[in-house]
Amino acid sequence: MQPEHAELQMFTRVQSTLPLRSAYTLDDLALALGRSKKTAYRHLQQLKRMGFVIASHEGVFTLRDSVFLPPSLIPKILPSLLAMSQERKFRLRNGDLGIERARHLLMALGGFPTLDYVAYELTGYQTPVAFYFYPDSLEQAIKVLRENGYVESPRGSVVLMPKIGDFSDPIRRVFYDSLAAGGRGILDAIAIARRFPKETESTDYLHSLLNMALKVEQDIGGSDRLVSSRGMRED
Amino acid sequence: MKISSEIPSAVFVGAAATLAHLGWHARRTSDLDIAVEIASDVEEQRLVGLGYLKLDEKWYTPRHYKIDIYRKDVSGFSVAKIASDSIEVRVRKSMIRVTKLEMLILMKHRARQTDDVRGLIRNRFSSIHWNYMRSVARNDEEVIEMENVARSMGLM
Repeated sequence: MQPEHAELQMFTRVQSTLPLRSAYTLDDLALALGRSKKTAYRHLQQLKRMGFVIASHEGVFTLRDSVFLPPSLIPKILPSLLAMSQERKFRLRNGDLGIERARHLLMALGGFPTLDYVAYELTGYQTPVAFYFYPDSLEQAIKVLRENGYVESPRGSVVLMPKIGDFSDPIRRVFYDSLAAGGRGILDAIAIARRFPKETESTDYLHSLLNMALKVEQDIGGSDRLVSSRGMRED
Repeated sequence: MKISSEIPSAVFVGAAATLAHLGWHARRTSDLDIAVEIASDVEEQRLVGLGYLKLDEKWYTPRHYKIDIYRKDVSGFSVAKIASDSIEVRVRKSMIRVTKLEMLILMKHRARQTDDVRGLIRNRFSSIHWNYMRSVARNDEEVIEMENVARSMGLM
């Protein structure tokens, strides 16, 4: 799945000019691009189609920080992003999250679990909070959840996504999904890459960056513990 | 949460603070971050006497959790300010001190932990005191950015 040339051009422009922030306005985007608000709006729609926009309301929006990953990685994470942009969230009608029950029901139906729970199974690094699943049949999975007391809810922690892209290498797929998700997902991706270097080595640039980070960590050893985020830390 | 009895001036600033404000709806790693105002609470000999372990300049609790101890500042907030504005919350049967919600949001924002920023604003929006946030923020832009996170979710 390759992004169109125009899409990639727009993306590179956004990536190179937009500062890293928690939220943006259309004015921010227009200013960064040096273009009109109308053009900025068009770019925002393209970012939405690519799956990078998390929330958007009246010209104010938040982006996945995976938008700042090296452009060479974008075609690899695009299927994950597209799937995430079509996610459907469920929880039990009584308000409970119902994760364990849903896991049992959905795994029996067939499909591919990813993100939080799988990343935790692979690395033991960050505790999971939501169950993400690519069912073999989305319609069938929704039907089964509804029959078992689940309702769609924006705050649901059982998340179904359509199967888009390649699932032949499970670890690599979870790795790309984690990268695409951004935020804490990127920490999962780094943990997966460190644990499974062979399965994730196709991400050349990122991989070399991780190796360099590891080298710095080993070289510096404990001396960085003396420095806090802005100054000296006295242990 | 035995740390609070072992290190009385400890204020939780990382994952434990997020958990205290969000319940269990937050991803986290198993390490702990505390801001400590009273130096004698975390003197090396005292900690070792309590069963804490120091390996490669990193501290581990007697329950084997890695713990980062901040004595000066965290993400630009002084430990004294974190301590004076901290709140007390009940965790199981004991009380712990955690950093104030608005300060935690700004800490997460400055640490670029955008998931946590969005989670805290989405789930605790009605509890956020924007005037207090303004009073501790570096500048107006920082607060406007946090307000924009809320606006993007249709909360404002």
